[in-house]
Amino acid sequence: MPRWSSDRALGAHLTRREFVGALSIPVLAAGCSRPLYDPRRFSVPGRSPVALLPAPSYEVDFSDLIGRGLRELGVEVTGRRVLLKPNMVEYEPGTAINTNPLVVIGAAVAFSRAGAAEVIVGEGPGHRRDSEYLVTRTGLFDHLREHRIRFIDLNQDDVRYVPLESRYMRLERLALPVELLRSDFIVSMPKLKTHHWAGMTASMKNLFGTVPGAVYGWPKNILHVRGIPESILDLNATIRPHFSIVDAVTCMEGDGPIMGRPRSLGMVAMGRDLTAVDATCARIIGLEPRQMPYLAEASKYLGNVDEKRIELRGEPIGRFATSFDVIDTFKSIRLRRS
Amino acid sequence: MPDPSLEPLRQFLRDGRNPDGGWGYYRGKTSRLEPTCWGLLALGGEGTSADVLRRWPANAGLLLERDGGEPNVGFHGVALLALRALGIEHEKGNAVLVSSVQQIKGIALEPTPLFKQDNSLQAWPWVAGTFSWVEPTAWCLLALKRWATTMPAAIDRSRVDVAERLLIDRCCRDGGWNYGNADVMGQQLKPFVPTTSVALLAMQDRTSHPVIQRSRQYLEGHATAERSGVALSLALLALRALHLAADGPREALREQLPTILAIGNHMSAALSLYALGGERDAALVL
Repeated sequence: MPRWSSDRALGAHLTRREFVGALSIPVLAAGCSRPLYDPRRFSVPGRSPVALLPAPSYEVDFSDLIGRGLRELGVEVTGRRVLLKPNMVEYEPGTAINTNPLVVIGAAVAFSRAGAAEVIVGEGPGHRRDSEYLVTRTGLFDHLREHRIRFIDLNQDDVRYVPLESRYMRLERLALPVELLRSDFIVSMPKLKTHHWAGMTASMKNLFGTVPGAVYGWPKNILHVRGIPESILDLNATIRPHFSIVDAVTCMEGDGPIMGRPRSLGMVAMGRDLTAVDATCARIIGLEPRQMPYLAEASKYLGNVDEKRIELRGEPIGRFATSFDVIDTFKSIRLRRS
Repeated sequence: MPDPSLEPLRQFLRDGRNPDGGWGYYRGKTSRLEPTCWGLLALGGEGTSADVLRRWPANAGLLLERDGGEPNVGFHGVALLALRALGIEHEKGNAVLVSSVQQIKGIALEPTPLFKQDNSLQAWPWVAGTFSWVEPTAWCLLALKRWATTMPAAIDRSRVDVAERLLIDRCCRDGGWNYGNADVMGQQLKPFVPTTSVALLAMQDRTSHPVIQRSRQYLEGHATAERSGVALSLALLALRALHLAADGPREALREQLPTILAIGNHMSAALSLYALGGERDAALVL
């Protein structure tokens, strides 16, 4: 039976050989004549706090939950312009593809209460170019209207070329949405899912949705031609999001990010260091983060992957730790739990 | 006599027009090629100056997605349709624009068992250096077919042929089109209404082909399944071009108008006005 799965088309350019090759960033790095990034422009934190907060269902008060997380992590947004970047991909009832609108709205309310001058929601879906269809069918539009929150279609916003802060994609610059660049505080709000090309998609991969489709097309094929791990790294190095809130209440396992199965985890993860948040999420779903090329490489200049440098707040990791089903390609990166 | 019930759409577009004569996707944003083309088509014949399109910046014969940007091949195809329908001669010469787009090809890839498709087919990508996708291929194919009636000698039949082969190759098993692939890693992909509609517009002269017949049936059965200005408008336009009943998407589109205006996307509004305007859709009809 046909299913929503056009995200598979994103990898249309990849032969199996190229796909395996995409998992070997250090080789690429070794082959480059210019440094991939200027280490003086990056600073990996000594310790990265990550909060794991219980949310057994979408009936919890997310504004309260996320507000507690912001206070726990000492987030200060007074007078700042906050952009929330959810993951809106496809609409299909009964699936766990998108960041739940209730989590998005909860975050918007929490940041407003924390003193943000403005909170906006921005997304540029990567294969569905019809944002009107996505935001209305998912219910996000009604919530935004009720709370008088602006939605920015990042696919069709004005753009400005920005020099890339790292050069894994072998590109000098990329067009990015002006509303994103104007924001003082960018929050990646992914749905936690397994991903058939990247292993897992969470805070860092979610930035694909900031690349404007009206410039690069649908899918944003340039990101796949240049390499998915490479693109994740360059986008995170350049945009440098300030915070992450992961919707891991109901996640996706198996053949994600679209065709997998919903899997309840009952959690929201939060933190300033997106690498650390994603590494923690990977461990929770039973994947070894150091075996995911973009996380392994990110640990050199963007953030922490090492458990010893990640300071967990809220619930212990053991409360949520499990093992998500993954496609065969990624079975070799399963975490060996002691 | 313009339909008075569509006046809010017309006013919305008039109010959102930039001083340069173009439209951004949203009010107050920089003029972009795609919404500008649809805005001109929607308001065409109402005293609207089309100078903005006549002077739209180009590089090497390809229209830029925006001033200072790069060419977008799919939108170049839409612009060729608008130039033809509005009777505008671009300052670079329409023949140059038609010729240039025929030089652009999506990248070819090695065959792979992951994708059951012919990766050697090189139709049109969104941007140079990437793969061929359904939507840019369909817009460019339709544009070439439209221009073939006035400048047949300028049309490279091999480009028309490869584009048709790609669309047939990428059709989903039960008809309709996803945005680029139909069968990946053993999974059948599901078609979308907008891509199916654009592909059917491009293939409206190939209705005897079994792929087109299946896709036509898909669209007839799903024309109102995706509620948005863009999806419903394209479905309405495709069904009308194929001489099929279009009452369903027409009514659904009218119901959608308050949401379209609330969201405020110029392209969605312009496409809706163009589709509901009824008589001026010759731009897309072969």
